[in-house]
Amino acid sequence: MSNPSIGGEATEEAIAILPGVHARSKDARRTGRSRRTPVWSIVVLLVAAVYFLLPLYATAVFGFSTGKHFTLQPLWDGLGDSGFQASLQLSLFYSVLTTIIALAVVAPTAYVVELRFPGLRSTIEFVSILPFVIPPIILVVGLSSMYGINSPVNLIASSWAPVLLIGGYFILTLPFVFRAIDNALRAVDVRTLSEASASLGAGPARTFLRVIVPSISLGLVSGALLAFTTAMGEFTLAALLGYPTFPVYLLNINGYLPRAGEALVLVSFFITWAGVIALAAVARRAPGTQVVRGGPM
Amino acid sequence: MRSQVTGTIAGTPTSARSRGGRAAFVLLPFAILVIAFLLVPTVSLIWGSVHDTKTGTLTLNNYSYLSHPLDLVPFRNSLELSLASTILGSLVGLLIAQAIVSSRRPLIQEIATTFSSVAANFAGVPLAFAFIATLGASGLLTRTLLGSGIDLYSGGFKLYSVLGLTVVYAYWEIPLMVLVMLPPLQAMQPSWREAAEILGASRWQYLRAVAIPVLMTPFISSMLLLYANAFGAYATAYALTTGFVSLVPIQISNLINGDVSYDPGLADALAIGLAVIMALCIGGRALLERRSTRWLSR
Repeated sequence: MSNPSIGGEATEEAIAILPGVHARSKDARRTGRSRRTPVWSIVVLLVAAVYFLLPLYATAVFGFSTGKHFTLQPLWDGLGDSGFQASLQLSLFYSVLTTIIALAVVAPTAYVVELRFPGLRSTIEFVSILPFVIPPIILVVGLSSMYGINSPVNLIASSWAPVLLIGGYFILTLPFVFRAIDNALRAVDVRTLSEASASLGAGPARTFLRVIVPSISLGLVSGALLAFTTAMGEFTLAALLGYPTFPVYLLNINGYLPRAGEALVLVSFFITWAGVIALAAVARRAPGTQVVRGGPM
Repeated sequence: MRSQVTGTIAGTPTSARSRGGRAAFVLLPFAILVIAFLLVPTVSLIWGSVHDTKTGTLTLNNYSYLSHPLDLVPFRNSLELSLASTILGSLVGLLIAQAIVSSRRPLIQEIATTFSSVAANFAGVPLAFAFIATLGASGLLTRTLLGSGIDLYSGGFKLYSVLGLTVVYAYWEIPLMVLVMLPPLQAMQPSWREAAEILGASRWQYLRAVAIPVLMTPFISSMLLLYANAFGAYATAYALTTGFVSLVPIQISNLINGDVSYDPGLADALAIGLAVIMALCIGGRALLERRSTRWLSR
């Protein structure tokens, strides 16, 4: 596995790449440099570890005690709270739908643009970067003035309410999903594959589902993970448009069950951890996979 | 593929033109979603910012905040907070990234990279609560320091102030810097250093003439990313302060949701101001990325 190069497609914009963790000291051995780890680097990494682990430790101390003794009671309180279950269900509902719609819309679009409309490429790339210029706090102003309670098209009060949040999440996740799928598409020869498939008698839809989708599956998986984790943790749109999702609930529970709130923060931390581990596993097989959303949160 | 064969000549039901038409149909859902949830809201934002909320007449009054020093306080605070957390995050992040590269232990590199990814993604409400448990008025670290005679809060520190927010923002800014600077640092060739040494360059001369010029572009580009991230962040700041801190994103949310301060026109104008700052950062990054590809790709 080679190091992803800096610049170019892979690192453009607010995207961090899982760096080549396997870029071990091949160079050091070759040049006969010492393989010893410098003391200063150990000191720096230890100090950093303290800064980064301390808030987690403090959260655990607060969330897993009654003041003096260790207990899991706050966690059970939180998990058993009816608000927790309802908000988690809602978050899962929106995240799963956002993920499915993002993949189902972006993958065919990116494929058709690559194959038939290369002239539209720069437009689509520009659109997919726009959400970085228009972060959630700006998007929510436009969405609420257009579809909010005081607007002529009041989606929030109608049965179309889920469409509004999913539409917003589609835009927020577009940069990551498009980049993940587009990178995968450009790594395979889409044109040759499509022509070969057509010459064997397959229609465009069949070609897309049977040939293209399997060959970009890693890109689809990483796009899905990024879309899902983004939607699960999203607070700004949900809170300001009035959807009681899990992050919104987490803010509220602090008012009446603060210890349970802290215990659930740790749960949410491990959910993030699981998402990153899954992405890192994908990145190992497809170098250049982004593991950080890198937008304002 | 793109030949202009008409149905009569090709004689097949699926002529090139009709296939092109069906291909365009595939783009429709994407176009509808982008128009409905990005384009239309953005246009409504721009339109709302130059119209009076009550009378609907064309006006630039919403932008009058630009000429009132008092109304610019949120912008000043946001600029300060973003600048402080960017400088803190980028310097410390660079140091940690170099420490990871210098450690020469694959295991350390793997753990540090994975943890950085987790920490860079750990933002918003959960991060705010983790810091309340740590550095809040009755947080673990606050109480421990108090026990050893250091009273943070009477010393002027508040978690929900701009200074406190800087410490919290650093929690994702530092690992983000680590992740974006690791690839360029790993791409630095040992042979460059050896060449410099053979030519008699001192450590400082190597840094000044080789390392710094090569790393400067990705470093500044990463700083712009950190700056934009801090400037646009809303969830963390809101969860820590419940809206009682004067930052641009908080101000915007109060204007569209508050009962007393409801003023969508001003919210639109502030959002445009924020978008201009984001566009400068993202545009600056795009320009720098074009320059950085020369030495660091291998």
